[in-house]
Amino acid sequence: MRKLIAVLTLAVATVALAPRSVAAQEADCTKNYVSCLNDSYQLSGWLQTLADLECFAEYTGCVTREIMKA
Amino acid sequence: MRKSILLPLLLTACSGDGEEATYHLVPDFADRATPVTCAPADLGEVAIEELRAATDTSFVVLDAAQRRVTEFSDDLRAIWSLEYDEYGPAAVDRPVSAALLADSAVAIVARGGLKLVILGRDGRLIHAERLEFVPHAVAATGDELLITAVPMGGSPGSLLFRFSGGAMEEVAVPPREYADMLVGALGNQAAVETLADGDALVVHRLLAPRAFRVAADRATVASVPLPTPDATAERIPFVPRAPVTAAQSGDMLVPALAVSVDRSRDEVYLLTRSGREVDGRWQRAILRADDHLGFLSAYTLDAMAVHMAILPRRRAALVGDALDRIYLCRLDADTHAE
Repeated sequence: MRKLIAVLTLAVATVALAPRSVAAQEADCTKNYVSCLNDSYQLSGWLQTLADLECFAEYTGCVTREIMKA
Repeated sequence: MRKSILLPLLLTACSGDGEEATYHLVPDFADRATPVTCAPADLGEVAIEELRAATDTSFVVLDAAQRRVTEFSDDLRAIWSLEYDEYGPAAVDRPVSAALLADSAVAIVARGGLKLVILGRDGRLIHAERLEFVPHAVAATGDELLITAVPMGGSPGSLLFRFSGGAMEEVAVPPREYADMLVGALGNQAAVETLADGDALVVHRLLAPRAFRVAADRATVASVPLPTPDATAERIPFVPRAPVTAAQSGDMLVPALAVSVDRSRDEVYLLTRSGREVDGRWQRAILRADDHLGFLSAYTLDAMAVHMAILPRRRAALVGDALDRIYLCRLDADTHAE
């Protein structure tokens, strides 16, 4: 689980450093993901881990929806 | 007179991650597929999270915006509808998939809380539990549920779980390996559908044309080559690099936007991209196959569908687009037989 948290943190950094030319819809996915992670930061322990997982799952779903619309 | 589509070619190719992959390329797919004009259909106000065939004469809409699961008859009349709770033990938060259990219950898997919730059609809570994985899709057969998982950071080690008799157990359907966690999550989202004989199909929705047939005992899992439009072949090796953006979506393979099964005829329908670009977007196609995914026939649609439920009695596909517009697409299943 610690490895997962580290990987999630890296994923956030990657997303946050994405080029500013990213499309508006993707920016929404990213923005929502970062906002979600900020909210989960209020929690602690396994609740925070669960919340982080949910944030990542939502981000994955958001990106998937954008891909499938094309 | 229609030309029959040539026998599909079986090719073996290596993915960008070095895995052996098999798939059927359907030659001249877009040219030989039957063009279908889809007619607008009215289900009232719906926001489609999932559109799913239920029986031979009905389908289910999971509407996350209205917190509602509705079964419709294939003449588009609502048969029953359930509004689920936002809070409390029976709450469902950010659902992704629903399946009908026998005649009396509905199973919903949700990202919020990573939950499985089983409700009676009167909204009564039957069972709720936290999952050890992020769920993607659920299917039901008898009293058993099959749930596909989205692996994150290498966990879980299988794409499929079985819930029966109150117990959750892993079914050995291997995820595809990717170096990047987000790409791995995207590429391992899989649809699951049950077949008339009790077997199940697990089909990847993005990136790799990859499918598995899971025997009714859930102990035997076999890779099944997925029929794939030939014009999309050059996209098969493509693996996006993080950060994944929609700009890369044109390079991605989308093997199955949706999967739907006609159990009365043992046929499987895949909603996919034909490989042709129309007005800057990828044309949609429906690929009809037998229950071992042997190609039978193909149809191209004039609707930009992202959801699909097959309506066996009407020999039609009900599809929904990203703006929740619904269309009925009549399919001629008697042509292009192999």
